Amino acid sequence: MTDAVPTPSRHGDHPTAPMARRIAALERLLVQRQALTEEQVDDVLEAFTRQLGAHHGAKYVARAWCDADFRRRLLDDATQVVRDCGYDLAGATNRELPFLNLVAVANTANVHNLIVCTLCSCYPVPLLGPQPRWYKSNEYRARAVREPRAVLAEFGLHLGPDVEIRVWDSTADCRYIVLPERPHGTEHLTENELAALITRNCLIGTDVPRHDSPHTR
Amino acid sequence: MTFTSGQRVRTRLIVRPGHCRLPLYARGRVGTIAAHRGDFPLPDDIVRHGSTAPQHLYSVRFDARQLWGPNAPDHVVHLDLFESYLEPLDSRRRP
Repeated sequence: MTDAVPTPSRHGDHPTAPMARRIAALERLLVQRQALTEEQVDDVLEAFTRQLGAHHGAKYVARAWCDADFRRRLLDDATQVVRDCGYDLAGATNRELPFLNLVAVANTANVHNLIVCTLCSCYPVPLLGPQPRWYKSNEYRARAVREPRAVLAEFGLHLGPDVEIRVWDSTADCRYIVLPERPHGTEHLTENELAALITRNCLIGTDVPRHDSPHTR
Repeated sequence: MTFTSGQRVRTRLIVRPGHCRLPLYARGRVGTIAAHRGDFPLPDDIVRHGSTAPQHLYSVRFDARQLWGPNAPDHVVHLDLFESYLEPLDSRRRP
């Protein structure tokens, strides 16, 4: 009865090709009518594909793993922390987009957090990049609040029965980011190396950071 | 009215006609105030009037079984809900 959450194809087919053609036609028309320029479109694409992205969210998590005071401030008032640090932790990208009302929720040994927006597809784009197609799907939005454990298993994340799953439905102005647990055996890693372990899915809650210790290879 | 953390509340069945950010799956359900998120303009009124006075926004915690029935899985769902979507659990008014 329930449909699997759609995952990206490995074979390069483009189910959104009809929509892409419509958008290209709209863009041509708007440029022709001088309502916008190709450079403006490129600037927005550059912002969404390069400047924004999960590398920002990952840096926030890695810093929280290394700095207990930063972690406490992030969990207490993430909006203020981003205001102070900027999306990129260097204060440089706060002005390009409307400001973020951010809440960070921490995973523990007994609690796993999962983010969804059942009404549309809200999430903190400046720290995670554009939403993946599955996050916007009817299947994910319906099932994440109804059967999160089964959805996570389909993502390859199997949690023990003693772990409480806490689903956050982003129904208003707040945007949520998961602060995952730091994997074991990472004490020797630098903050940048830690950030490389944290993917966008870890920040949404459909995965956890993984680290293969050299001892297990 | 203003709600406090830990207070039990019931979401309204009918809030107002038209746009509303209380999902249908969470209408007429009992939850617990987990936090006050701040004061924000009500989207339901923005779409009609272009602006609105800010209203208290709360993080409300629901057991899955409250939302989906006694055979539901054992998880928790938090929704961010405006004050006008909520009433105290002991309210004698019909939901």
